[in-house]
Amino acid sequence: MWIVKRRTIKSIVAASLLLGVIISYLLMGISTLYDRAIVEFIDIHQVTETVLQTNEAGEAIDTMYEVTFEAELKNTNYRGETLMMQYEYSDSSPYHAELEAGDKVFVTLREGSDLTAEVIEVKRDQEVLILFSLFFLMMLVIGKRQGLFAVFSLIFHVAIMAGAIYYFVSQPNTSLLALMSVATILMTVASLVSVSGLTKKTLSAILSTLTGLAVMMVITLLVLRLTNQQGLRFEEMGLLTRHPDAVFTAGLLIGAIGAVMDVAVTIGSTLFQIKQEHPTIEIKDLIASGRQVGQDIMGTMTTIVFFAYMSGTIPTLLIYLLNDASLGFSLSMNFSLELVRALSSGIGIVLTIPISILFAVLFTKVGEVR
Amino acid sequence: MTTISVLAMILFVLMSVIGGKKGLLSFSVMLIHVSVIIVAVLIMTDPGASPIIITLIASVIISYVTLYLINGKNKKTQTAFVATMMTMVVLVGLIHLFVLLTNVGGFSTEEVEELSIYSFYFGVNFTEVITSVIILSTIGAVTDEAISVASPMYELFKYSPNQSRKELFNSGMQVGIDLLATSANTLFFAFFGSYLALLVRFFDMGYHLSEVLNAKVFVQEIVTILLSGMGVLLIVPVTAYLTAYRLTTKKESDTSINM
Repeated sequence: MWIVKRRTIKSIVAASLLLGVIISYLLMGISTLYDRAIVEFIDIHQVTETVLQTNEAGEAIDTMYEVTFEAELKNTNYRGETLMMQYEYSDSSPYHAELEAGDKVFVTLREGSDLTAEVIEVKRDQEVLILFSLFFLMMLVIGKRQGLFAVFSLIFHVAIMAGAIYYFVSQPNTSLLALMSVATILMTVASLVSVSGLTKKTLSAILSTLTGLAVMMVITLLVLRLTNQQGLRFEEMGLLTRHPDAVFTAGLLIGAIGAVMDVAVTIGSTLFQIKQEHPTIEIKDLIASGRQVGQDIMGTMTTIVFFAYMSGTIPTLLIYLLNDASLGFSLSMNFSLELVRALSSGIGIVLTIPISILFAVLFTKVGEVR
Repeated sequence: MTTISVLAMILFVLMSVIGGKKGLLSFSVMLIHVSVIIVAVLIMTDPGASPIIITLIASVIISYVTLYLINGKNKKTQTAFVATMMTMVVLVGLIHLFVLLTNVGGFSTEEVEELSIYSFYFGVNFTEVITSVIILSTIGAVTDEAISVASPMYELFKYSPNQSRKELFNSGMQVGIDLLATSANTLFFAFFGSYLALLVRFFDMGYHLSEVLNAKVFVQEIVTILLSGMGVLLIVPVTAYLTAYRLTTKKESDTSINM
């Protein structure tokens, strides 16, 4: 009976999720629900080509296409009217992508003698929903319960951080770093407790993660202060309307949480496992095993965060180099912040190894005394 | 002294003290990775070269260096390497498909404003460049997951060599899936750390949800997070199957020699 019931609940959950996705998808297709004006491209009328760049042989390698589109307004008071629109894209597509008939875009409308419109942004929400559904489905099919858990923890972390940022924006005098520290404690405790319950092992992992992050932040902030942030270029954070410093340091903390937690859990579980299987093991041997595990994961962990950070700099780095900026200048303008992030996380990862060993040894000892 | 050189020195000292020889090796691998990225970008400036192909070649080098230099050359790393390559080929297709579908190639309005003094039109395809960025941001995690699945499978096989291919595959899947949440978390938090400025801006400007789900600058980040999550997921069954296949096939050929 119980199995049947569980299966029923599962199918109900699956059905309602599917229904939710389908309904959201359909709603996103209804243009009148959006405040901003939306047009759908109907037909290409005219294309003017301009060669922007040629190679040594004189062949065009980058061409600009000025397209005149017939478009239909899908919402606002002018719904149903058609108008002519201009749209530009090039082979290199650094900004606008090639659009085809049937694509929907957000536009600004200008009401003069004629109604004119200018493209602001392509409509992407339905495609984002498809991608998220695929992600969710794959996590569920391959990862089963653990996959579902990964998706939920992702949503949970996003919610916590959104809450912290929301509070920061509404209370301008609070420190973002302090808020993110509170968020970090919440996320670490919630993640680790939900994985393996409230045990000594979990407690040891929580303390290792938080201590590792704290020491990492102290070292990084100290270096940032003592060197006066020499060589750091905050230009890439220019999109911020506030001082980039505070946001950058808070980002250093957030960026390292996952990696540091991973190290703490891996070392902690191994040492607790060893202790359980060999209760008489000497502390010295336990430390040696912990060190061994730490050395094994150190390299790959630093590689993971390194690539997660550095790859994002490629597009702007490329633009600098294409515009004949020197390699040194391009690197210093684009690499500096991401390198600090990668190095700081690396310091966190490596430092968490002895810290986790220390806590694991302490906590396995506590059990012995009792 | 610049901030970066001081931090690099601290990391170097910590890695060599705590990690010993292996720590030094890991630090040099990091230097190799920096140079691979720089060389890859330098080659991308040639409009005749496809950024995706360059990135795939770079991924082969990165994965090879990470696996063989850090973990040593043996059957485990060999299997993990092949599994990583197979997964990357599938992943590249998936990534490029969604970059095209969501139209997130190239720079966002915000970035274009920042870079307004530069010219963009050199024939380098920036839609492909965004695909490259997503591939590279997940290659480290995919490689790590591959060795984390293959390695315990070989150990398990050593202790109980009579397992069937299906049993081996299942235990490999179990190991990988147990690691899934932590691997995904490592990546996700690193991305959140980089995107924090963007998130703050989002609240500052009071964007509406429909604006977030449509703005290129946000959708690029969402696409990166979701696709790299799929990367660390896809590598698990590929590695588990490949390892199980190799272990059991070897067994069959061994017995045939004995007979």
